[in-house]
Formats: sequence, C-alpha cells, structure tokens
Amino acid sequence: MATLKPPSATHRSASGSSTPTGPPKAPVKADPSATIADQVVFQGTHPVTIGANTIIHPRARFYAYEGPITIGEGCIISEKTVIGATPSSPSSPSTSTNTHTRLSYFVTIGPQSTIKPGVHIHSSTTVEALVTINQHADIGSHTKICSGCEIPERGRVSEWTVVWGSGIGQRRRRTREAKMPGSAVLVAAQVAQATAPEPAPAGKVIEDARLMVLQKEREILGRMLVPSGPKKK
Amino acid sequence: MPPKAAKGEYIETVSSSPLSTPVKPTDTNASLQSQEPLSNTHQDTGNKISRRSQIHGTQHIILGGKTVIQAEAVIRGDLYRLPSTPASTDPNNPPQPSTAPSVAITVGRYSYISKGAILRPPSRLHRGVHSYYPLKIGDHVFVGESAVVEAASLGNHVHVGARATVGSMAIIKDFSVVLDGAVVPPGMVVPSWCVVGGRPARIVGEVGEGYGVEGAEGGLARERYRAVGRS
Repeated sequence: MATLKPPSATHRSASGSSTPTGPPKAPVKADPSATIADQVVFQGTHPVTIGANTIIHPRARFYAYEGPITIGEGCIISEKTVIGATPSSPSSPSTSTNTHTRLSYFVTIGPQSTIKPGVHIHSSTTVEALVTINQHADIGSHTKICSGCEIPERGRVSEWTVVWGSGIGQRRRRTREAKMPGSAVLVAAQVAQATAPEPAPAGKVIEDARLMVLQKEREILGRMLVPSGPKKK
Repeated sequence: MPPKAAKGEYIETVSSSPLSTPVKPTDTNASLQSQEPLSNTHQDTGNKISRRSQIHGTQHIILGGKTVIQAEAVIRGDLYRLPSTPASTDPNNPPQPSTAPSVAITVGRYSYISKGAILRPPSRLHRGVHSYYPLKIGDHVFVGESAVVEAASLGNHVHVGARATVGSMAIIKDFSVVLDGAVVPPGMVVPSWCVVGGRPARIVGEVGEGYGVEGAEGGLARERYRAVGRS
C-alpha cells in the first residue's frame, strides 16, 4: 500500500512541475536552409533538430517533452501535425527506453497527423493526412501510410510497404499494382527492373520520380512560405 | 484559450472587410475601397468567421458571403498559384508585382467549414513546374470536423463528413455526399448525386429524391448559417 502510493504521487508532481506558468520553449536547432513557418509551435525541454531544406508548414506542433526530436533533411511537415506528446497525455511513463523521435530524410507528413514520441520514420516515407503513429513504432523506408490509418504502439512496418484501409490497416508490398501508375510508367518500371539491383522492388522508378516531384514541391514551398529562411537563434 | 468566447466568437464581415475583398499585396489598407471590381461578393457578405480560425493568406481567399468558418479551421490561402513564369532569382529580372491577384481558395455562399477542418489548395507538377491550383468550393457546402480537403473543386450542396480526406486534385460534383472518415483518393471524380465512403472511397449509393431542396436533407445550409453565433 505504502509502496504503491509514492510512485504515482511523484509522477503527478513531476508532470505538474513540468508545466509551470508558461509552456517551456524547446531549444530549436534548425539548419539555415530549412523553411519554418511563423506559426509553428515548439514546446518541451528536449532539443528539436531540423535538417537542411526541410519545410514546416504553419500550425505544426512539436512537443519535445519526453525526448529529443530530430527531423532529417528535405522533409515536409504539413499543417496541424503534432510530433511528440503533451506532458498531460498519458503516454508510456518513461519506460527508460529510447524516446528519441526521429524522422529520416525526405519524409513527408500530411496534415493533421500525429507522431507520438519514440517513433522512428525511415527515409522517403510518406505519411498522409489524419494518420496516427503510436509510441516507438518503426516505419521502414519508402513506405506509404495512407490517410486515416493508425500504426499501433511498437508496431513495425517493413520498407516498401503501403498501409491502407481502416483501423490498423491492410498492408501490401509497394509493387506496380500498389501505386496503380499509368501504363507508360509501368513499362518504364519493367524496363528498369531488368537493370535495377535485386533488392529494389519494381516501384523503384516511380519512387525516384516521386522524390523528384517532392524536390520541386520543396523548392516552391520554400519560396511561398514566409521567407524566414535564416531563422532565429 | 479564452475562457469565454460567447460574445465575440465570430467576426461578421461587412462590405469592405479584407477577408471578403481580395487585396493586392502592394496595396495599403487605405485603398481597400478601390478593390470593388475584384470582389464578386461585395454586396452580400455576412460571413461568420471564428476568431480562433487559422486563416493564412487572406488576400488570396474569396468568401461568397454567408460563409461560416469555425474555430481551428485552417485555410491555406498562402498557397496560391504563382505567376506562370517561375519567379527567378535573377537580379535584372525582378518578379513583377503580380498584376492579377491569384485566388487560392473560393468558397461559395452558405458554405460551412467546421471546427478543425483544413482547406489547402491542391498542387501538382505540370510541365516541370510544381504549382498550386485554386480550390473552388461551391454554395451550400458542408465540410465536417477535422476533414482535410485538398480537392480541385467541390460542387454545390456537397457534404464532406467529419474526419474525411479529399485527396489532391479530386473533383466532387454537385449534391454529392462524402461519408465520415472516407478517404477520397487523389484525382478521383465523384459524379453528382453520389454517396461515397470507405478507404479508399468508392461509390456506395445515391442520395435520395429531393436531396438539397430547401429545408429538406442537404438543404439546411441557411438554417445552419443562422444558428451560428446565436447560442
């Protein structure tokens, strides 16, 4: 009885003390070439690192309460996306695991998605709108999480996968059928498959093209969003 | 968060409000009155816009009048179409001060944007240039809570359910219904009078006879408008 009480009490007091009069502002270390809109919220005690050429739309929110957040190069983070968790939310109470939230390079996050602490998203992954990725999930590279899906806690998504459908979501390899491209692209993919190394799936050519489009989108967005290029300290 | 937002929750626009009147970026506030030819909405406004809505790029948004925008709705008017020649960083060829103000988002009369919805113009690569295209929303349209709309156009009397997603460059024609939580894939064209749902969305039915008739199902936009801010 007495052994049960103290932990909960200390936990509560800890969470209470971490929200003083104003929310603490997270130390942001952004690359000078990153474009961060004015209305982006950075809160928390751990550092937030943002890589080169990354675009962050307005109204995105970063809560670095449970661990540092690292955003790689060339990412696009859309509006109303929440990365991390507010201290009040009942997330896994510091299970001494790595709560470092990492987004690798060329990751696209759609509007109003939620990335919980400890998530690791590998490179070139697309996360669409209204997606929830729970704690410590691991999303492989070149993967697409379609709108409205949810990835469970500690869930693992292998690379070149499309997660779609309702709830936890169906999965399938990102093959030619998975993206349903035009026939011309399909032929190009088949041609390229002969030359491409074995581990790269048939969607490699399409994926390369998509990344080029993404590059263009970043260029445009970098011009359109408020020119706050050399961001504050 | 404000403790009580009962009285001043909504801004009701009148004729020369900046939200209903597109303003050239080069203009100062003093010349608002000279913008009348641009504003097809001049005589009829009365938009009800929550003070807690998150609207970007107001000069690229046209509201058709009697439009309701609820709290926390994000409207990305700042993603407008750039002039056809991409603004080069050439020092001897400065980007001309946009002659016609490009419109990013048009919203028709009696349309209702619910809490937390996101309207963002679609974008695509065309002839090697990635650009944003205008998002047109018709009259009597309802966009549900936390919905994300990236469509090229929503017709009149369209209903988009809560937490639905309308993908980039999708076209939803008049009197269609997108069910709650549906995911309309990018580029989909939904015909008139259809009900779509599921992930990805497919046509699951038709709306009934008399849908959209004033006062009947789908025709309650005026009542919806009047109820806002009355409490």
